[in-house]
Order: sequence, then C-alpha cells, then structure tokens
Amino acid sequence: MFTAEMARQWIKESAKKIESNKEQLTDLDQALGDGDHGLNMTRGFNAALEQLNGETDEPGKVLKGAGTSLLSKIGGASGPLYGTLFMKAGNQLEGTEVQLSDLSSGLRVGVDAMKKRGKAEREEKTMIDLLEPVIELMEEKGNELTADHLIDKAKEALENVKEFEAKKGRAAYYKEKSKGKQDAGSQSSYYLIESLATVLDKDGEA
Amino acid sequence: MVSLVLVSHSPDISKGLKKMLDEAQPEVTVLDAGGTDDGEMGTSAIKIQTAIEKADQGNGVVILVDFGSSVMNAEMAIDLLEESHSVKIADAPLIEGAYSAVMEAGFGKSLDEVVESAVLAKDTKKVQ
Repeated sequence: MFTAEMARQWIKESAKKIESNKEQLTDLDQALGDGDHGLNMTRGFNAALEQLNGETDEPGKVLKGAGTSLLSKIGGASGPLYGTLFMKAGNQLEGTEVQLSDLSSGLRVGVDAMKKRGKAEREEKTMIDLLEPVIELMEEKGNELTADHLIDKAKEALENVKEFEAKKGRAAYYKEKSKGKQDAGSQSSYYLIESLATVLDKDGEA
Repeated sequence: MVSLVLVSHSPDISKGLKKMLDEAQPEVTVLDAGGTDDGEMGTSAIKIQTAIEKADQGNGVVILVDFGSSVMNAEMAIDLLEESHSVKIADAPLIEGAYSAVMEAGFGKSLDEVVESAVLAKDTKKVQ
C-alpha cells in the first residue's frame, strides 16, 4: 500500500533532507549552474510542507498539491520539472486504495512528462538520469519494492550521472568540463528517492 | 489587436523592454512577465499564465522569451490555462523579435503574422 499518510511523509522527509543539504546543492549548482538550486529547492519544499492537507486520504491529491507548490515556488527550470513530476504522478493515482505498483505507474507518467517538458533524454546529465533508472526498477519490482532497492539503484545512478557530459541548461556551456562534476538536479532527485526509501522502511517496521 | 507577453530571466530587462514597446505602439497591450513570483532572477509559469490571461484582448497572445527555463515555463503556462486562448511562443530573439511583433500587432495583423514577423527578426543583419 501507498497511503496518503505515506505521501505526506514523503514530502516531509524530502523537505527535511533538502533543507539539511541546502549548502551542498548550492555548491554543486555554483560549479555548473547559477548557484540557486539549494535555496530554490528549500523554498519550494517548505511551501509544499505548508500546504500539506492532513485531511485527505487520497495519496494522489497529496502529491498533486505538493507539485503545485513546487511549480510556483522553486522557480527556474526545476520548478516546472519537479512540479510536472508530482502533478502528473498525483493525477494518475486515483482514490484511497493505491498500491506501490500504482505509484510506479504514476511516477512513470510523471517522468515521461518531465522529459517532454525539458526536452531531455538519458545521459544528458539531468534529473532524468537519476529518476528514470529508479522508476524503471520500481516498475520491475512492483509491490515487492523495498527501501534497499531504491537506495542501491539511486546510488548507482548518482555515480553514473557524474561522468556524463552536460547537454541541458547552463551546465551545457561547460561541455566536456562538466564531466566528473555532480549535477545539482540529480543530487536533489537522489534526496527525493532516499526520502521515499525512508518512508517505505518505516512502513515495513509498522 | 494581438497582445504581447515578455519573459526574461531579468525582471529589469522585460520591464525596460515593455517601456520601449509602449512608446513604439501605445495601443498594443504588452505585459511584462519577467523574473520569478518574488521579482528575483528567473522565470515563473504561474506569472506567465496570469499575464497571458490578462493580456488577451480576444485576438491572441504572442510570448517573447529569452532562453532556457523561459521557454519551459512559457510552455507550462500555456498548459495551465483554464480557458481557451490563442497563444504562440515566438522562436525569436527577445528584444528584436518583440520590436517587430509590436509594430505588426499595432498594424492590426493576425497572430500568425505577428509571430512570423518576430521570427524573421532572427535573420536581420546588424553589420553589413
């Protein structure tokens, strides 16, 4: 099961991780971008936290609400990208009875919409390089998905993205000099996946 | 008349550009949607969406953008529109394109003609 409470925990945990790694995200973005990723993500997730609806028992509504906040508060390119991910995924999840396999299908729709929005493909050193391999694994594992699956795949993807040459955004100006440096968007996507893993872990204990 | 929405990362650039366009064709509705919701450097889909809704006089809106997330947020803004508006993003340089567009819009041209004039501004030679 993926309940509305788990969706709320996912947003809360993400906000916490983003906030405590704000400086790191800023430093990564300073090397290849404009250096505002830490601040923008913190602002966006704090807004998503504030609007969390404690009443609803529909996980889709929780994710959609968070997506709307992220869209309007993150700004730049990350706002419409993360906004699209959560809004589209949320739209896919209907009702209160949502399984982990439904969450995977929802995130698949979300990441496809993100790719379209950012006109991005794999190996262009973007959040897609972190999110899509993880979502593929989620689709494969279905309801058997565990926190360890998520963490292992996300770590592997994070290592890979470092070596890619940036093709999108301001980082693309650096061409081959971008190789070997971490992408700030992939790093923030990593924290989102790590947060989802924490939520699954807690659910397993309960 | 066709209206214009200007999107640049710098709110000062779109504000200054609007002033220039208002002097060239005062009858054309030109809205500045540059910067983030807080007036910082960046772009915002919500800000652009609101500007499109306000700007449209019934003959459509052309959006002029600088680069990067301006394009992405302009596309997202169009997707967010609840009522139907004729909107096009001009594949044109922001300043030169907006100047051509405001002239044509002021002459009462259609949305497609206004967009085309903006796109043509891309090929204008500055140094012979």
